[in-house]
Amino acid sequence: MPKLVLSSDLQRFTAADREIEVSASSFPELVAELLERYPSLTEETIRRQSLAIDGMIIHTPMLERFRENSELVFVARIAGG
Amino acid sequence: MSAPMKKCHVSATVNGEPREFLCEPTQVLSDILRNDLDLTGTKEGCTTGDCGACSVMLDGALVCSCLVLAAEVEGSEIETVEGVAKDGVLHPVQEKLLEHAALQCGICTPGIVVAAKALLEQNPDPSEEETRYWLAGNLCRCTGYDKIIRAVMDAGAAMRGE
Amino acid sequence: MTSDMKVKTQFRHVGTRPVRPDGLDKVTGRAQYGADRNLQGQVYGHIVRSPHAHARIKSIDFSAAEKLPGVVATMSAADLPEPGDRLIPGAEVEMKLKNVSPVIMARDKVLYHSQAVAAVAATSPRIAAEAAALVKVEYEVLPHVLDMHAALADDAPLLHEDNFTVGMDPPPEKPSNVSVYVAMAKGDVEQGFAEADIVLERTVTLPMCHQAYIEPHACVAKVDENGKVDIWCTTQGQFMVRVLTAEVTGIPQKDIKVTPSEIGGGFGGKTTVYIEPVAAVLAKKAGRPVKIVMSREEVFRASGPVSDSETRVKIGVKKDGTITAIDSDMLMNTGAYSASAMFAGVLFGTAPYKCENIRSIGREVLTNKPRVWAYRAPGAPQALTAVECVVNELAAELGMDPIDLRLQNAVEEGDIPLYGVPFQPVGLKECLEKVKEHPNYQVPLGPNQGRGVACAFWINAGMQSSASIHVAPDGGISVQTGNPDIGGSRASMALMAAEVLGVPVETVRPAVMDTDSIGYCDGTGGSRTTLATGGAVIQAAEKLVEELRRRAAASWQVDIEDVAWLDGKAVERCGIGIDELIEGSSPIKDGAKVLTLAELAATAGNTGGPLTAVASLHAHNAAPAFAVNACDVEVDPETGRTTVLRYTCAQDVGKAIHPAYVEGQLQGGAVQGIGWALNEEYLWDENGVLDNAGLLDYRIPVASDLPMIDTIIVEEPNIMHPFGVRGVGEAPICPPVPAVTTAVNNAAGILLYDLPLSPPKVLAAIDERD
Repeated sequence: MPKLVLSSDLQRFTAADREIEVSASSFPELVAELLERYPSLTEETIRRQSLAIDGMIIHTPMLERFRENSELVFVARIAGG
Repeated sequence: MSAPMKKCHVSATVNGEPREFLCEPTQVLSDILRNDLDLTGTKEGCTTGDCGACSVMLDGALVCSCLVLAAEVEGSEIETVEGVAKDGVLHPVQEKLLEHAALQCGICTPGIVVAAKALLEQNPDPSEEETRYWLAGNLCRCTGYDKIIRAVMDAGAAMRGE
Repeated sequence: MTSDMKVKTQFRHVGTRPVRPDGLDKVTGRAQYGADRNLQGQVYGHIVRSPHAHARIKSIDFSAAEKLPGVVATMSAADLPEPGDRLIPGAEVEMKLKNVSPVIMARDKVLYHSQAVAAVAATSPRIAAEAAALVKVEYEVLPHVLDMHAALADDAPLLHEDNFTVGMDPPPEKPSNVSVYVAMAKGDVEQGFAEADIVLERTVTLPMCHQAYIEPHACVAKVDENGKVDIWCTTQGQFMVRVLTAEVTGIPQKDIKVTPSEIGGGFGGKTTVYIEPVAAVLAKKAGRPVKIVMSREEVFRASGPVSDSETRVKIGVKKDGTITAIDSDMLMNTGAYSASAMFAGVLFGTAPYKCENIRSIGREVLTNKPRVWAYRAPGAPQALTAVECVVNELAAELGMDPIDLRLQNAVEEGDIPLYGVPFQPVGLKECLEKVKEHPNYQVPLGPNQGRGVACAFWINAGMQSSASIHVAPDGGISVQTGNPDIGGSRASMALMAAEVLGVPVETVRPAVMDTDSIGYCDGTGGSRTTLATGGAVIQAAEKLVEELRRRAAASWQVDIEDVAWLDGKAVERCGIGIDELIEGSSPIKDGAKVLTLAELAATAGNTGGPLTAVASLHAHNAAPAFAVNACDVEVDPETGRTTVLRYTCAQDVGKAIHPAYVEGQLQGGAVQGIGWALNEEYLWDENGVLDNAGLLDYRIPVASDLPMIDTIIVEEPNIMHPFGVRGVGEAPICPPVPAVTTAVNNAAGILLYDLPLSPPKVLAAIDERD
């Protein structure tokens, strides 16, 4: 199952869970799974993050699919100059 | 409230050609060059004489054209960046700036071209320090000046036949 | 996802240094920048600005201004839609429209001196300025706050009564001047400090500064009878201008075309709009084109300067040099509206180090100063400067070379930074080693001289890009993108296209298109253009090669697989493997058919029509940059003036497409950082009026201030990019600020962390030392 790493600013919504296994195989499934698992988390909060999938940081991951052993990390969006 | 200002009639030689224009007494040369004579190669970065992007030659002297009243150039000879390349041939300063990749955004480049050409006409073999001090009035925010200084010194070498 | 990418390592064009295609126009004065275009019937806009740092706008009376002969239009925020809570795409992250729109035109309140409150258009710049002075704005002056600590006080004047700090848990019950709070952590910092033999804590402040691009913001807008808007302007992103103008004015994007001029510097400062929506509204009201050129003074007072910051950093280290804990707490000034780059500061300040125990906190503070905006690696210098200065002090205490201490703790492949994504191969260690070996690092120091070292990180952006390639009937190649060329990107696009197509780079004409003429491109920023737009160019060129092979195959009545593309020619394989042909291990068979690009182009009409290829992508393959700088200075103990003696910068750029322009990025960033460390700062009077709003008193480095800036290009390929590109432009500004700071402190024997280290401050510190 894909592994999701939660940054410490998200952990306040996730009862301090830091690293979890998820059954989602796509981004929409991941959002649904997280919202069900963590009631204080909102879709807006999730969508303001980028998602790194196996090292690739994806700003708008709406259509992304994961592999069985994917490593997922939410990352704050950063603007450059 | 101001009444419309009466304009002054001015004749001058610009890049070897006789030109005439009308200007308000408060207008500066860079404004007239850019907006009346269509010579927009002369840039305005500050209009207070601090950035050097508007450098031109006025009767053989290197000046910031934003500090010169247009009404005062009657009878003068002016050379702008547009007059530096002659007969379709670049000046060595222009050649070397390109060769050394000594411009990034390029907004300071016209002023650098005019100022560096003036330097090499006065001092065909400037040291690095002399080159740096001569160009200290031409601000560049992109390059850190390294490649500009090298290009100008290299242009000097080319002009000396080295 | 990453393993199937094949990164090219052998190049024929990439890595060479051709003259840039736009160079001739730029050395002869022909290139047209923002203020260089005038339109028939054009009038001139002038913006009315607030004389107060904080005030309620009670009324705006245009009657006297409108009576002045020559005035053709006036406007204020009343002409713009209410922003409400609308979220809009910002430069690279989403923003609230209410943090953008009032910077264009204030609504209800002004929150900083020189904020725009109204505008007029008139037949000459002089009349427009006179008319602006006749606009009567009635204000109710409110108490203002400039200093971050003062803004944090319980009784501080509130900038926004509806500002409840985002990111607090639980959410605050009272509004405050803290717009955003963020806390990130990994490991256990307390445990980490307990393991340390030495713990050192310092507070480092950086001043508010400005990108100080030499070209002021400038635009000209016209609106036709059908309401179609045409904008010419200097910008880092024409598509960004389109969306922001649409959002601020309510004019739909489909009615707006934006043509980017050449751009005279930006460094992040031109990734937003200030005047374009005003010009569009005035042009619509006047029925004539409106040109607006900001003065240098307006640029300093009313564009987006750079956050001042206060960063407290505590680092623990073992006797053997292992960093055991880093604790960082930063205050970042965002000015009047939330827009700072605090997240980057919080996340990236510790990124060069393996350290297991990190805590990083940030608070973004609202003050009555202009809303800040991006400047090269936004947010990172404010955090990294503090970390790097402390690391330098620790090295001295341990008796270690500062590069050796960093080598011992430097991240490498597999390490996980605070932002959570494991590093792929990175070149930090190689940068450190190269700087250590450089002759500059071996020079013995004399009296009053000091050396400083620092390293830095920037994440680099990918984002969206489009490119199209067209082939002329004689084989000429036109490469089109939508990214303004701010530092030589046309040359890089031409090189990458030439590489894939196998043609001389001189036959490639790269062009920057308007918003009607190319697919969407995010702006030139975030060090993304060579990576992402270059990636689109590579993809389009690959598609074109496939099409050329197909055309050749059709001409020869063979299968496309029987055609290889070699050195700009279609070649019949005759059974030889494509790889062997490309590598040259097998020669082309005698008698094999060949068609050159020019021949294929000449007959394109008979083989399927014009040759053209388009690619669009959302690049997810950005990879971080690491940089290392070393700097020697001499401080005059009589005056406190610092002279930079030697400067060395190394950076891992992945692959340098045009090495001369890569060196230029390193050199330019280094000098901007030197300026920030030594001289540049916004100086305010007690009324919140900027005291040094000109290039004489806001002094950026000039040629005579500097030595040559030596560069070392390290190329650890980005394994996710076809050519190994990482992105270059941002990281270079980070290391110079701490490297210079440490060097000055070492040279003068002082401990001064209140930047800039300007002569009066250094002299005072020397006097205190004695």
